[in-house]
Amino acid sequence: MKKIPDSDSDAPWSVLLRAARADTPPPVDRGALLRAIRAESWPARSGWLAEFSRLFSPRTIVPACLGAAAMVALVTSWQLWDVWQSLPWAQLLGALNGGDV
Amino acid sequence: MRRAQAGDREALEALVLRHEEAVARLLWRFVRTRADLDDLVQETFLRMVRGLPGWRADQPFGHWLLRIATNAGRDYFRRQSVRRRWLVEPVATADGDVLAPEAVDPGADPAARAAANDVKIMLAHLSPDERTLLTLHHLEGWALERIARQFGWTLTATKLRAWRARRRLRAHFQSSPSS
Repeated sequence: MKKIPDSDSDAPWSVLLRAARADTPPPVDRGALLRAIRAESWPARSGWLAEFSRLFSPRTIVPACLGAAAMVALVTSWQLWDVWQSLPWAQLLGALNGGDV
Repeated sequence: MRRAQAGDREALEALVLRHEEAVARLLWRFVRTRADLDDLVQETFLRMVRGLPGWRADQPFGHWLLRIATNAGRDYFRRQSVRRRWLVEPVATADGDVLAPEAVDPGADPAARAAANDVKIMLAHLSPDERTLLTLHHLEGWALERIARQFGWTLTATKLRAWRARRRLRAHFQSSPSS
């Protein structure tokens, strides 16, 4: 018959819990644990150098450069388009002023 | 501690050996076999090594490590839950658990081991978060406030979760013919 945990004060449940808490773990395989720790590559250095390297790592710097290049291309083409659009108006203005722009 | 953080392997190993017992004791509440315990203890210490550069001296190292261990335990419950959900043919015992009874080592105190086993089997019917909560509360004796702090939950939400978990457990064992 399973004890149903009604609350912490429920007698059979409390008895079961008290007994369960007395259980102790088997010994851990310490050799395997230390081998796993030794095999683990050491994490990145801490400090400003690590922050700097992380900030300019190839994984972030390449997309950042591509993004910046795309932004520059966009702004430049926008400016060129603006100038192109204004050119006929500039010519028209020049003609209206008798050739002096 | 500082030496281990700076990359001294010997200091790191000493740190592992100093805290290994406390970590194993906590993680034993989550598992039922020695093999699973070894895996979880290794996972916890590997996470510790990876996270060591981010550890700050203003938080006690023991607390930080136990937080890693409880998260590893919760992830273990989540993996078990997913595996159980997707298992085509679950090899279930009469208790509805997937582990064969003979796989459990009787331990130094067989009565305590059997009781712990009973509680773990009962809690296995809950969701991973509820199972983690009741494992820490009932088996490890942690207060709900501490569990709430550990997982970043509010105290009210933790109390509600504990209440729901108990209710679900009760409903399960009342409806189950084997209970």
